Amino acid sequence: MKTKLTKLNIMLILISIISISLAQAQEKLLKGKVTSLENGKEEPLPGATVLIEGSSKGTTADIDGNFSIEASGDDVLVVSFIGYKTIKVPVANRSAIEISMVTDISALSEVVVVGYGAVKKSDLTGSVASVSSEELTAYPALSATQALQGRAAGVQVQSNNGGEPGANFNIKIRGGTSINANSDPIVVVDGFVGAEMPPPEDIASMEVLKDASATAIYGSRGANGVIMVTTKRGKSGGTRVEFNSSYSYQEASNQIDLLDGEEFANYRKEFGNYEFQGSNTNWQDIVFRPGYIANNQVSVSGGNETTRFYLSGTYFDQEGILVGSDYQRYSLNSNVDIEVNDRVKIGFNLYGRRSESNGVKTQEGSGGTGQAGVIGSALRFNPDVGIYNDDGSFKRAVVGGGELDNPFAIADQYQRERVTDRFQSNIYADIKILDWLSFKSTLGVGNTNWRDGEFYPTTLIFGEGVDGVAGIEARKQFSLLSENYFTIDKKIGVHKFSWVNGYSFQKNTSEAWETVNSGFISNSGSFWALNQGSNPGTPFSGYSQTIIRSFYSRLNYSLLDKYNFTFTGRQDGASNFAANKKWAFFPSGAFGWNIIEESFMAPLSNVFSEMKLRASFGYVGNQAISAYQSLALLRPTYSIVNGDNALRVGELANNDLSWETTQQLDIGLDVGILKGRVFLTADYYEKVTNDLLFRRPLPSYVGVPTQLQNIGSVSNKGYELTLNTKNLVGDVQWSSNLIFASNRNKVLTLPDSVEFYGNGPGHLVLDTDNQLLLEGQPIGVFYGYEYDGIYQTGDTFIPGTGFEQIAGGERFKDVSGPNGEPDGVLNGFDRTIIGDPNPDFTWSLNNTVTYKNFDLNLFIMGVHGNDMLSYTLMELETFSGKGNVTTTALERWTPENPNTNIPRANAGRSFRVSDKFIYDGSFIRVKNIVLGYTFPKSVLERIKVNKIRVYASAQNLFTFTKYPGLDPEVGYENSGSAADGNRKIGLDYASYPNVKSYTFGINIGF
Amino acid sequence: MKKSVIKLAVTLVVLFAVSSCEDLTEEPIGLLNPEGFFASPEDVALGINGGYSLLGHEAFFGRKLSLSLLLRGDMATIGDMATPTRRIEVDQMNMSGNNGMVTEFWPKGYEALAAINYAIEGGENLDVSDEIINPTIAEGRFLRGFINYHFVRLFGEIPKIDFAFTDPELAYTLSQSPVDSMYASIIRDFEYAKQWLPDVPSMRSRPGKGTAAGFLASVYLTQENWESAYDEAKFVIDNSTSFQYELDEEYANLFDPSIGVASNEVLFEIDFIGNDASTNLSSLGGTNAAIDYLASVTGIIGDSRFSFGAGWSVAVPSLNVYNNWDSRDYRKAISFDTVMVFEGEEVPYTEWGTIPSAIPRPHIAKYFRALGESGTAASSNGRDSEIDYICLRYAEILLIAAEALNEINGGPTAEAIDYIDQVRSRARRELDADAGNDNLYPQNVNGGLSESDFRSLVLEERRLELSFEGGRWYDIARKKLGIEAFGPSGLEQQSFNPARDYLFPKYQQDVDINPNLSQNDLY
Repeated sequence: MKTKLTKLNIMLILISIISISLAQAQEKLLKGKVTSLENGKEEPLPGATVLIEGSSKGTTADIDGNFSIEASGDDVLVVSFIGYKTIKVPVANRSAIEISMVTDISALSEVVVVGYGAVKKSDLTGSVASVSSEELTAYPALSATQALQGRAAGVQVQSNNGGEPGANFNIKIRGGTSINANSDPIVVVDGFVGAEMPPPEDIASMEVLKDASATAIYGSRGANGVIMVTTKRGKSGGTRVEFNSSYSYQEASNQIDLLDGEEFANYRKEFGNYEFQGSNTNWQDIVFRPGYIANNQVSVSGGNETTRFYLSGTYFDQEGILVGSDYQRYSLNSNVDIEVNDRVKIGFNLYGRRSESNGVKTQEGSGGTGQAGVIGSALRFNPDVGIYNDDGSFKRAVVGGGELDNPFAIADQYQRERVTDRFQSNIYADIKILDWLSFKSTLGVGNTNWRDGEFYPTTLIFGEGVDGVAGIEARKQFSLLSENYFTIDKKIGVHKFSWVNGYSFQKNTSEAWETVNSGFISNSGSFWALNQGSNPGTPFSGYSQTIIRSFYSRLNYSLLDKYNFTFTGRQDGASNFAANKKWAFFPSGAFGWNIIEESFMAPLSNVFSEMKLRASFGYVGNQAISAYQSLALLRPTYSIVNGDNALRVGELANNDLSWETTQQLDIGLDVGILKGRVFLTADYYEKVTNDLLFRRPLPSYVGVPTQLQNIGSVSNKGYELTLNTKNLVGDVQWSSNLIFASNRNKVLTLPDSVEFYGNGPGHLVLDTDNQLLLEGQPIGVFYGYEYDGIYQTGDTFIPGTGFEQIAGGERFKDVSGPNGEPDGVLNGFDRTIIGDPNPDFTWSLNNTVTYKNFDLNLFIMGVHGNDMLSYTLMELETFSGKGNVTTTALERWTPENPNTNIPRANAGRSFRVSDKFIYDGSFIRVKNIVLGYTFPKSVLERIKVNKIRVYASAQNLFTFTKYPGLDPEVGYENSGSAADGNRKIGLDYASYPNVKSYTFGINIGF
Repeated sequence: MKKSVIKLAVTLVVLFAVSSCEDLTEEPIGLLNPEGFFASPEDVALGINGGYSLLGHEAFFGRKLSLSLLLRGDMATIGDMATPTRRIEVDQMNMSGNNGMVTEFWPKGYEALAAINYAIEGGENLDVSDEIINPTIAEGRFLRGFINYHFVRLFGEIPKIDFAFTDPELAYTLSQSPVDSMYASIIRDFEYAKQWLPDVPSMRSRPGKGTAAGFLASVYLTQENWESAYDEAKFVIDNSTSFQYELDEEYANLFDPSIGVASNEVLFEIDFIGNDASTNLSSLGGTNAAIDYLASVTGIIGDSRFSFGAGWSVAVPSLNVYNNWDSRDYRKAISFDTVMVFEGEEVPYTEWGTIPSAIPRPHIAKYFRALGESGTAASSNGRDSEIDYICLRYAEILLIAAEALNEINGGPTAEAIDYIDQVRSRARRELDADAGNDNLYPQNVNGGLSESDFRSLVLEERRLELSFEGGRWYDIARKKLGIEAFGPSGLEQQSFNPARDYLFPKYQQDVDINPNLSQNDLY
């Protein structure tokens, strides 16, 4: 199959090349130059398109703005360039011509990339946000996904583990449409569905498709939105070389105040005999260090009228602020576009990336009952103990049963390395069959291979008793995509049609294997000497394949350039859908009304430059079932019967399992005021996702805990505002971009009306699930007790197993009982909803000021109204003697110090989730400040350089928040699975904090 | 030119549409579809193995069930009060349907049952002779009876799962079965097992004929069907030679994990494998599938005798248990751990009060010390050990026979007394011919005991002989001893409510899902 497709594509492209049609009749050679007025001076405008009206003949201006074209004396030239007003210039028998272009301040004239095509913004009926290359490269980012943060209304980007080098990011567009399935949008890079975004430096623009009209063309994969990435491409006219380099110095933004060695020893004595261990160690100082990012890119691009190319290499090197964490990424990106003739265009994209990351366990997982992570341990480990014993071995915690590795030991000794190779390539041929009919065929292949190696040496608790544990794990993922579609563009009088019809085939395969061993001869081999272990674990391998076949169609119809209609439909057939539900259809419709074109707006034309109303409605899907998930399965399980295999029942079959369907209504308004000085886009949307995939709990006597079923629904409603203003024009130019978004998420129906989940870090041994899904509530509200201060001598104690009945003890509210009424007893009935991790609104403000050769950029982001549950502070402020605590312990209740609201120390107090540990996670963060200086032309001409810009910037310089943890912009347990990403929100446990960073950089163009 | 381009494009599109018709039917590689999987007795055995294995899971005998059974009885109570509340609730008789022990071992038991039922059904559909497949099915039915026997005693009326689920909708309305009906089903399973299992199984973590008969004896004893209880026990005793059962000469050997082959006294045990958890892949259930914590939860906080470190003092006998036990009894020394090593010094339990977090009471020795002294593989705190968790042993068969005989005859017969004396004689360590080397205690049973005196004597013998092996709670429940055991003169003082506390609460989530499943009274 694969080879058949490949052959066909190649054949198609080859034949296209052969069928070159010859140039037409000869005319006179016309030479010209295209310029534009920049800062009061006519500057050449390379890349402008020059066409002869009524023919398909044309050329582009070279680097100096010059062009030449065969034209007859009565031809009319049509000159166009993105961002400039298209003008028509009669040749009028001239042989040389100078054309001056004027910038087009109308934002609606921009072209926006949508699925299988591009449309003028004025014809757009759906909701699409664009993010520019400048925004994406404003500061060194791990990935383009991170760079997208705060740049588009309604797009939330959340790191899986704060500022960890190499961290992954979750993207949610307009709230979480799913609860258990992936809520991340699909990414389309130059037409390749599911491709990887190249580094930000290689991206020309990103379009975020948000409403059903825009995303329905991606059918069963459109429900979470679509991110269309257009990579940078060569322009005709000379070869350009650009070099971008930056270096960032990074440091942790703050520390949690903890007891020092002696304070700790005094505190610990309250639990019984304890001797000061003699040291005073600030573990946070030991595990945090200054980090850096070095980010470099070289690109070469150029071409002529028929062939254009772009070639770029990037190298990103980060040493994390936590000892033991670093990340490197190398990538190559190139593309070539060839206009074989005026009817056939072919080209290809090639992208390769290798990244290497060394990870640390920041939170838990080092082994032993203590289950230390570097940061977790740095906070709770004995401060009165040093790093090493006299014999050079690592000290362990004295409190907590000797089960806790010291933070430096984990950072330094534990190894986890991931090496990822990604390769993707697509080739295309675009054939203009008739003036109004074209055909495009694309063939893409993508490969991701990653390998994880992990090693616990004998110096750590986990490796100690078993002479080291090492494992290695690899994945090989392959994707093949063939897209073929016709586009009809036809104008009949006042009717304008654009009709796309296509067929797509995509196949994904995944291979996996892993193995572990323990009982090693030495610590030197790490995971590269698995054969030196004596106690191998069971190896694992797996294979899966999915196929999706689709037919799609989109009709854009425009009447009088005023009334625009879009109808879209996609029929998807997918192998991973269950036997009875192999095919799905997703329709949408939209209407756009260019009010500004109406005659009644004419009197207001000096106020309004644009006005458009948009409305759309449609159905899109989330193909969230992975391969084979609808099938019944037996699974192997660990066998206690030595030497024999063992099976358990894994899954029951569900022959009706299908996609999730999101219906979305969107109403939007685009308004331009004062000749484009102010441009406002406002959208209101309502989304309801039905047939949510749920692992429905089966009664446990079935013996299989859950079955994947389509059950439940969730809604997201909200509005988004984007306001672009040019506050000052002239010598000092100041423009602002304000983004505001508010989303309300609500669980509508669930399999069992309520579902509890999430019980926090394992070593805390919380008995309870602390988050829940409840009909009528947003996803992920927190559940726990209401803290009511402390008991004082003489207070009446509320009885309850495991609750304190002692002066200075923690007091909780008796909220309810078995009959729904307070019953005078504290127990599980007294737990209630104590917080909501979903923000009320988010915003960002981007300001750019330029004056002469200086440019200044200020980017601020805000998130408001979200609660966070800090397991970190729960651990540090429970005062049960299991580890170090915050300095609030110094004011704790004692018989001598009863006038306090800080509870006493009590060894019998268990960790308990209450609103005491729910904090307002709102923050305003100055994400980026940049001051740049571009060297003047006069200087540059002398050294034969086109452009030099140097800049200094700072990231996360200021954060305004009431959140008492290390950083409010963190996540915990949100990366294990898609469901975790949607549900385990607003949690903090010893997370890798975001960092302050100071950057110096240079951009050079030759 | 134009036309040829059109033709070309159209042809290509048609070609694409046709050639891309790859089937959307899934044909997974390396995944096991239960339909058609069970094609041979060996396949069926794999499912049965799943049953064995899941019983050893942390959520079952690895800790959650075994610890619950220890704590619920009067022989052990919570030591370290900072231990998770779910454990304290089991001990202090204030559980709810969401108790974190039940929420783990209830589903795990049914997970094992599912594996077993799929295998049994697969075996029953095989077209092979009874002689070939029935012994394998019999193992499955033994395990099914074994799990249900635990569950009916713990939870009372429960859903009877003696089939393989394919349609989960059925589960949402499934009725619970009356206790009698559950016992009838358990007896059927054990009877079948008794019929088809071998006289001597390949290892003692698998059942033989005698195992099935032994459990039948236990079931009948619980039902107070004394005749049948005696008959089944007698069957085991009479066949003890061919079934290879006898009392182990050395009581301590029973708990010594370094002895590779299980003692001939063992009728059934869970055979944990040491140090295999950390490398168990998550696809095979991860660490918890392969780990046991009995040594850790019964071990001593602060103790540094053993290379694997200290225990956690979760389940620690009350001082009464230690003080009331005659110190001349060898079994007491094997059952209790009274000295730890702290900072290089041997410290008796009376002085543990000065050691941070230590619980100054003698601790259970059958797991922690036995493991430590055996030097067998284990991970930190003695978790992931080589311990064999004994579910039924020959001494109990003798005690069952004695108890049943007493009830049948309205008083102890010589045969009944002899069974007790056999157990006591072993406790005297009559290891050689020289009586001078024997302990004097426990002495043989005196004649002339009344029926009720002997009844108490057998129960006491069971309590001591089988101490800390998980059976005491069931004795308290079956003899309705709660008020006495947890009252002021009991070994442990707990507020015991006889209307509620003889049963555990059922898993609340299941009760909530299924309207035909009701929670036990007063939960």
